[in-house]
Amino acid sequence: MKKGVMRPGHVQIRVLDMDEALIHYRDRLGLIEMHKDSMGRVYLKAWTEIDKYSVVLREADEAGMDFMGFKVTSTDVMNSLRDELKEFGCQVENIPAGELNGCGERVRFDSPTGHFFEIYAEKEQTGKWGVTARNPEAWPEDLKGMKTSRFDHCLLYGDDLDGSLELFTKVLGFDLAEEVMDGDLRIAQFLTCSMKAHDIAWVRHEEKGKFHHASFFLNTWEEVLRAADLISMHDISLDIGPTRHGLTHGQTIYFFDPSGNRNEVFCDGAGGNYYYPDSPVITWDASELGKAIFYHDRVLNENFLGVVT
Amino acid sequence: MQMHKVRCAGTNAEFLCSEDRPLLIAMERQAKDLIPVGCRGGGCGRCRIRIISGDFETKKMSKKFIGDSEQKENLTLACRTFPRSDVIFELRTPTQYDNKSTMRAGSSDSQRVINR
Repeated sequence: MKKGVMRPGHVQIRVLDMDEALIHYRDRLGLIEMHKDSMGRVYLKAWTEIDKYSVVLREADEAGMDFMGFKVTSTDVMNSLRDELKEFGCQVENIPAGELNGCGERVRFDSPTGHFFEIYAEKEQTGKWGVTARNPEAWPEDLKGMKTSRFDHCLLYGDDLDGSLELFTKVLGFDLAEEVMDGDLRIAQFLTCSMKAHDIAWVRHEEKGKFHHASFFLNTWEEVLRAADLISMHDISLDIGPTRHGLTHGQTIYFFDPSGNRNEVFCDGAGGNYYYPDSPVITWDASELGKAIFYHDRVLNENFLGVVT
Repeated sequence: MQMHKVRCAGTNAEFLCSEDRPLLIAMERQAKDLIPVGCRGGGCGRCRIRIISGDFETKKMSKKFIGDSEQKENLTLACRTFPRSDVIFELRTPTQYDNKSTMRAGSSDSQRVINR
């Protein structure tokens, strides 16, 4: 049941070197640099997003994800979800408006898998980048690199998948769209709060709080292949692809930012899955795990499973 | 550009590396398989080694894997390490790469996945 959570709104990623990271996220992924705050954090957005930013980079001594934020429909929704999060047993922290530039009050909470999330209702809207709000043209001509069109989802690694599933479905109103089952044990879960095949996903892993990737949306397979060319042209660290997933059936390529955080660009054209509230859960058996993850190779690569930040 | 020999301690396995290229990338380009490859960005720790002899410089690496004490012991990540002389190294892969993912082989439950 929907409870007013609209979409993934932002992710704050730790990078080792801001200058290197900016070249990657701005010039290669094609995100737009929107702001730099007094802490030195840099804010970026993909061009189709209406809010001011979706990616916040913070220079730090370790790579990884600080938190992922979801935008909710109203402040009332945020306040009532705050109570439910406390009741569920989350540690809840109120972050005042303006701590992130242009963002209203945020409610930050921990999760059974050890990740930190936030909900917020207000963020400055600058509109789609490079096109007017009234009588808009199809796309802006001066995009860079892969020209990614939106921040789409994150995949996280952690131990208590059942706990985070309960938190996100019962408290936040997400639905389980796809899963991988090893007998009774759910070893991967893909959750949605929209029509997308996933807005957030987890893979079971012994360590808590690990970051597998942040994913950005492209429109076509051709654009995924073009991203692959750019990865080679600029000697970006490749993980795997271009290929297709069995899970979600997205067409994809994985690579790393200069600090070792994994990124994905993908498209859901030509058979990518979507979700309605009456869609049955799509289940893959662990015996078909290779095909579930990499539909063409049908074998897992070691790094995809083990290398996280 | 000056080339240096990079050798794995206790073996004859070696590759060449120029001063402007990280050890790990030079190794991969020569199709050698002496050091495990991870993110290639200093973030995941997969390619941790200890330099037993030789001079080197590094770029910034995750403190989680190369803290101050590790740095004093000449531990480093091969993806962020540039040779300044011939170098001999040994592998110091972090323990978290001993089969942690349940999808791979982390728990007894998942042995079923792997042994199938």
